[in-house]
Amino acid sequence: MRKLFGSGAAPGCTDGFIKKYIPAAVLISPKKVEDTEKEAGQLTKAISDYKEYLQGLIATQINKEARDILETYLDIADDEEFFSGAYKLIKNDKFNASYALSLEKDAVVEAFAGLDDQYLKERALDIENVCREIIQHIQGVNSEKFFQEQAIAPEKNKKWIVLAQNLTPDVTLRMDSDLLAGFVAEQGGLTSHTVILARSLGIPAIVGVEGLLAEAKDGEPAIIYGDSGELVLSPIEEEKERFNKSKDSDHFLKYVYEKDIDMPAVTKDGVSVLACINLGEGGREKADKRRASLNYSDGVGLFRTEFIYMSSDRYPTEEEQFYHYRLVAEEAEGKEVIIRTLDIGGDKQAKYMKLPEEANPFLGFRAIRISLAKQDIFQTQLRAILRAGIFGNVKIMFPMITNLEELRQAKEAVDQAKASLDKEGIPYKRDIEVGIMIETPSAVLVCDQLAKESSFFSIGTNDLIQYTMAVDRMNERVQKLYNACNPSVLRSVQAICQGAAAAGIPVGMCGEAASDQLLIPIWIALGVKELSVVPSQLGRTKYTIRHVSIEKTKEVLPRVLNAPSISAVIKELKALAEIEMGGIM
Amino acid sequence: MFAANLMIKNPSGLHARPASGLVRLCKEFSSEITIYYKEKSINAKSIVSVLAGGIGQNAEIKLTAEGSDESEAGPVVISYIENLTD
Repeated sequence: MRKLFGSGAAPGCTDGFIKKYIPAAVLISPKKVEDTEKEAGQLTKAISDYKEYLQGLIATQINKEARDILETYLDIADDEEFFSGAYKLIKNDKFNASYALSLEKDAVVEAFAGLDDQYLKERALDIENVCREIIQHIQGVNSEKFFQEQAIAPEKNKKWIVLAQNLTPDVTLRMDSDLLAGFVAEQGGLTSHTVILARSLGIPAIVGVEGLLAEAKDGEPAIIYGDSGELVLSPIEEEKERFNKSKDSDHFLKYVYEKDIDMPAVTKDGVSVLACINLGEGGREKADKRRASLNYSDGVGLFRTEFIYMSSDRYPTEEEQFYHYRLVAEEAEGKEVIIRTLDIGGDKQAKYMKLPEEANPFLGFRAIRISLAKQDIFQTQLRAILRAGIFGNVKIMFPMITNLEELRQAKEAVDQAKASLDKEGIPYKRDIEVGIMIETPSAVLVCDQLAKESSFFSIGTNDLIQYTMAVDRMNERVQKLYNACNPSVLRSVQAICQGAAAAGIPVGMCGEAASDQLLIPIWIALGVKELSVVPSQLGRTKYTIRHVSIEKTKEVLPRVLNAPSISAVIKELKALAEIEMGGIM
Repeated sequence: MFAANLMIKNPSGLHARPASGLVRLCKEFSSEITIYYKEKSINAKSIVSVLAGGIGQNAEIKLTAEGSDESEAGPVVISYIENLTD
């Protein structure tokens, strides 16, 4: 038995068998061939095999975006003119097929590099990927074997724990999710897309495990603890017992938490807060699930609008947006729905947006900065939200506000949208509340000014931690600092609550820290009135709220705010939780 | 031979979805369909060539079709390009 440790990335514990994902390497060396016709035939076969493979994949994709990407690849594989260059190199220069294709690929990639267009640069990458896949077909190497093996259970009722250097979302999606127990990666940040995917699929994950691939053997049994970041290889009997206990307590906890999901969010000593949910998907799909969690919540504390933009191949129209906003406003049946305007940047954008590539996207052109610069897009969205406002308790929220000027400009845009609707005689919510996200140190420092001109604040803890601690959450060497328990983060929340209280506006919180069991009593004691969490955390969040005492929390608050380190804060909070909730955590 | 000059009006030009659509449409015809842009002559049935052509909004192009179905292909392709909105 061996144990390896990394960072817990997605919670839960699971057992399974090790399966390593190691992408096939391609070796391309120039050779002279005698039988050029046979060589050309190999290229033809490789292309047609690859096309067949793509068509098979397309047929099984439900996700439209995934299908579109695959169809683009099929178009490239179908391009006779492009491949004719490689055939000529085989015929005239007697090069082997792999080398001929790689020369042709290099020439095209070079031509694209000269075009100086971000969108086209990405297409060059697609062409490279297609060529690499075809060369893999020629050489008979591919990752298919991995996917095929992964789709077969290691033992009856058992699943795979997939190990990799680094997992990309597309590789993750191609795996058989029914047989994927969890995954462990050598690299990767805690908030990478793959980790987010793991959380949404409900599978445990660990990242940042050094020496992982060298140590673990394919096919050996293993246990992973996604909370603590522990990987146990070939566990002995005692470890298996520990796992079974832990698994039982997982189930027990789920049961305990879910019991509280339809109870009001009131602390033991009578402090009432709102327990809301974050939503990021609309439309008729998944509507039942969404309505169920809405039913148990006090509203939608954060409605992300990015999905409407990301799932389209052009800017969504006012009508398309209105449809989504109205649907959720009606479903909420009078509970609040806070709609956040477009929060997107150069690192996460739809292709048609053509935002420039930036060296520091998190310090760059993003969120409200884009909306203020592209008024036509902003107006379309604001009009759609204003119109949806008459179908429920809709509020507008701006992301990434850093000073009063930006807030005033954004509010002016709302007035402009109202004026244009008035002019056209279209009904909308006239007295709509307009609030902002507080997620930069700059906004914290001037929150007293911002509070006077906002209807509410919502603390976006993910970005607030990142900007306050000056830490890239994707960088595994510094991600230990990425923690809401930093005294500076706690003091920022304190300052925000004080600034809001002076102006008499409410403060909500919608980052991941809003569902952190240890911190929930602190947030409420500091004055946060609304916790907005992902639907799957609603039961646990309500359970925690209902078991804490704010009076007792206020006793430890000075010690927490003056603690010297993250670990000292955690120690104080654990002691508090022990008293309040006993072992139920 | 069919030949016509036209200007690309849609914002994303012959990139992305419009390019894929153009190539798929041209492949339905047996005629050779060529786009002349700047000094380049671009095979309209080749997605790699069309993309590498970098034909953006406001580009002035010449389109030709040559073959047995040229009189049908030319107008159909022109109308596809003129009706692009992306």
